[in-house]
Amino acid sequence: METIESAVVGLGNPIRKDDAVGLVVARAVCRHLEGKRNAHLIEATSCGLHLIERLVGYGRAVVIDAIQSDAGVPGEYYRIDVQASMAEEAPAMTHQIGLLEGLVLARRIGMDVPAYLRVYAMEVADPHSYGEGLTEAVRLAVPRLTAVILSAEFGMQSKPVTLAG
Amino acid sequence: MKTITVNPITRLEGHGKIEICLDDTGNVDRAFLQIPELRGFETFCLGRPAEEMPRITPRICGVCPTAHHLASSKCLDDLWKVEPPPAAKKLRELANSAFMNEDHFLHFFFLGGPDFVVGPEAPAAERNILGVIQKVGMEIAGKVIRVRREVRQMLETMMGKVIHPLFGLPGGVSRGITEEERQQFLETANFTLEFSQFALQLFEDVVLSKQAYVDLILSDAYTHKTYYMGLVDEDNHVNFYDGMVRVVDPEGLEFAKFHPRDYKEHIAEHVEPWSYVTFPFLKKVGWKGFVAGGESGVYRVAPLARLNAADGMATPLAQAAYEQFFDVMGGKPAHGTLAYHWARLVEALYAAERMKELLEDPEITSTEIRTLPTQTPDEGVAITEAPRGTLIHNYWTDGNGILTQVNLIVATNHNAAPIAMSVEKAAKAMIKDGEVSEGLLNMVEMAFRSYDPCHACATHALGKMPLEARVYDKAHRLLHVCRK
Repeated sequence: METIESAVVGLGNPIRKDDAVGLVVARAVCRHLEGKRNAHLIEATSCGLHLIERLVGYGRAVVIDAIQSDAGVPGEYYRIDVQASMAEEAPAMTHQIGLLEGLVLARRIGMDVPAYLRVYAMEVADPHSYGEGLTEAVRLAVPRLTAVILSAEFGMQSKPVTLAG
Repeated sequence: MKTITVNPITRLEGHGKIEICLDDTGNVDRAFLQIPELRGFETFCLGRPAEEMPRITPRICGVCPTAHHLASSKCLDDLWKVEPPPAAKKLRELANSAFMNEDHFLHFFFLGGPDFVVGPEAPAAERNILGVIQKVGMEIAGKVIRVRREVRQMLETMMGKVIHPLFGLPGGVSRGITEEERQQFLETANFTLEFSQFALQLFEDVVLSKQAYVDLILSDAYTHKTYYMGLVDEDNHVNFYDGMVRVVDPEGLEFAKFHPRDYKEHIAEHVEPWSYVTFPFLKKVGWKGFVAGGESGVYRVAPLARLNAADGMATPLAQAAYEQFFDVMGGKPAHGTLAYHWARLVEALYAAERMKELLEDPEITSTEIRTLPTQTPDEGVAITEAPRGTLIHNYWTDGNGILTQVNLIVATNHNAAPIAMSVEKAAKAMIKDGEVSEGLLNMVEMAFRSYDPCHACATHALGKMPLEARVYDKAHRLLHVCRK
């Protein structure tokens, strides 16, 4: 097993329908990794400093989250290479301290945060309604994104899938 | 739409949306803050066992889950009419104080602080925590991180998890603390006490020493003379966990003092036909619109309000800070919205002192931490103070403890009307004759930021919760959108 510890971060609210997809995919990825890779599941509902503090000590991190864009189709997903750059503007509230802001700060003050961080974001239909369970298109896309992450991040081959975007 | 490389794609529905309505002359008529509907949450809980609520309600928001967890636990005590043992109450109060302390530091150093430490006129790229570090030094940033980390580790030990605690039960808590943990936590409390004093000194050195900043805090643009609400103990001192709800009028005189169970006699919710958001107001004064003053039922909660509503602080160092606060602010009550930031630091100091007091209390390691409920549940009410203000949980159940009705009034809800008024004042300064200034969001944000609104939100990785201001004409046609 490799020596670098990986954090597989599922980011989401488990009782806001599709917002839970990050948690669902992260759990699925870690089930496949158990015993095969030096990876740990982190379930987080809040980003920013709270998440950064939990990433201390990990060499790499894969973050999985829900996303909604104007033209996005639920079930599609993106791989986002995080380029840590200075946060441009002061946030107006605590919820605006995002991953970038937290990473930049952490690195600036010498915290031992992952050198490698990649975000996978799935387009969702309903991340706001209260309820449990994913909407259909999102639910059906979970195995596909799981396989993509296992292959791209951990070199574990599974059924071939097509990346969207 | 932003492309996905580095820039975030934003979710806009119900998140940080400010609506500004113009009159016939193109000047600001009204401004409002959109807050996501919590009614859906209350519906989601129906039919579930009430004792699940301390587990469910922290999931309203990932930023202040501890507040909901503790308020919910207290509500279950009232629902089952069970009195927790003294040690359990002290442990809950310890958790609440610890959370209040670290959350206040998060807000001050990352949000409010930059407005002052770096300066409101500084470029946006510098008005953030990194700009603060540049001004005050890297060592300070390290201490902020350290104090928050240690406090959260303490909370994790006490509650199982910080974000979704497994701690409160009807009649008590699930876990006490050992003597070894007590000593470890006491070290944390001493460190955070020292840091809390430093933070206030920093505020004095960087903010109060500059007359321009003091003038800004006292300026009319950021002043509303409202009522103020907060929990107080039997001596009318600020209390974050227990006590009576006290309301003072814009002159600082006690207007009401009531038991949490009586909140419905004092707080009503105004509804506007164009919005699902409700605007709580004082029933006995009445709803007079989005206006301040003694004739208007609008009131405020959270740090500034708590200091105004109380007669003092229960711990010596915080009391000294409280007195200095009102001395500079020109007496009680203080109406300057930007003073919320200073009040936050006074409260952080109180929270640290209270942590130390509780950890030096021999009873804190008692193993008597739960009283089993025996009564049949029907209705429970609890009020605690969250970092962002007064938090009300009200549950109704059938005889088996299954929820039939839930009512939550969260801090940002109480402050909805005041935030709108603050936004409106800022907007009026920036929008003239239909022309929207580029500086609109900056001035609006400074007022908005003081309250640190906490929306029930989904989470974000790269995306920040967007702040969007929409400007409408008299016929509610969208004229302009400012977004960040």
